[in-house]
Amino acid sequence: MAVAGTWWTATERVAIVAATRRSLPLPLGEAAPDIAGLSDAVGSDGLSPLTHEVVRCLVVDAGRITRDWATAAIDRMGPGRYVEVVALVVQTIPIDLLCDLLGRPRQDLPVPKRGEPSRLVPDGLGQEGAFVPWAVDGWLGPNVARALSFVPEDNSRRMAVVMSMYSGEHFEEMVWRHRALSRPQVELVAARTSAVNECFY
Amino acid sequence: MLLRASSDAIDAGADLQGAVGGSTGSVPHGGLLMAYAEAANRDPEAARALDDDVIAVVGEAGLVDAAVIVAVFNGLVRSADGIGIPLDDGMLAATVDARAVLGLDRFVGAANNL
Repeated sequence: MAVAGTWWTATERVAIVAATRRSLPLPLGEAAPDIAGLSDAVGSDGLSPLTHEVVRCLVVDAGRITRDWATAAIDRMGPGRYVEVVALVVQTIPIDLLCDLLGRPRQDLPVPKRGEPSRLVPDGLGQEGAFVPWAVDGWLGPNVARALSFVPEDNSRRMAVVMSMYSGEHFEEMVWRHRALSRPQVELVAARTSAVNECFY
Repeated sequence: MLLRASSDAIDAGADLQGAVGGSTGSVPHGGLLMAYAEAANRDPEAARALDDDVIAVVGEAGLVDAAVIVAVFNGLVRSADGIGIPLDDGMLAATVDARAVLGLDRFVGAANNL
């Protein structure tokens, strides 16, 4: 996070994580702003109202994201910047939430280093039903593992977090002995979490 | 899907209704774990009130496991919904009945898949 990413500078990446931590549900009765009408002029923290709204929606309203909303956001931000925002949000929330649940302080945000984003689009991407292009050439794994392959370095970091916190090297095994909870207990907690968040996938 | 498969692997039937708030079948301490997951997702600070109860039945390591799973799946669901991940073909076919029973096809994200 402290170094430039693929599409955002380190300063912007840290600001996105800070915005993730500050995101709150809208007051009852207040409608979400139309993504098409939000300014993309950056504010004092280096992020635009458009970026702030994308972050807010991912953090507090992800289960209500529609293809139309995502398409409008991606049209304005570009797929790379959009996917990298998703990547930063989904790497921040698990670590922060774990700290909160265990009564531990959240990690301090790093001091951003200088540097420019690489803006490199990986080879082998294509459209296969997701909102954004993703790895298609020779892909054999589950779709969730290639979700953020538009930004491969962040996708690798995200999947390392997932592997560390969820299955380790035991995903294909239905009987787990490497952790305190059994696999059915783990999957019950996982399924309830997905349902509370109204996640179809 | 993995709840059912992993329960079948140890000959312990899991009631999939547990995922949406119903019976947890024979998953050991399923009711308490589901209550913890519910609280942890809706109000992490309030969930800490259940810590002692969870520790009493699955130990401190079990509490950490439950917290870790809630945490990591809060990232996974946002990856899925933010990117509009289509359900993998095999999973889509294998879950027709379960999705209907659990009402999952009514979720907004279903529109990206069905």
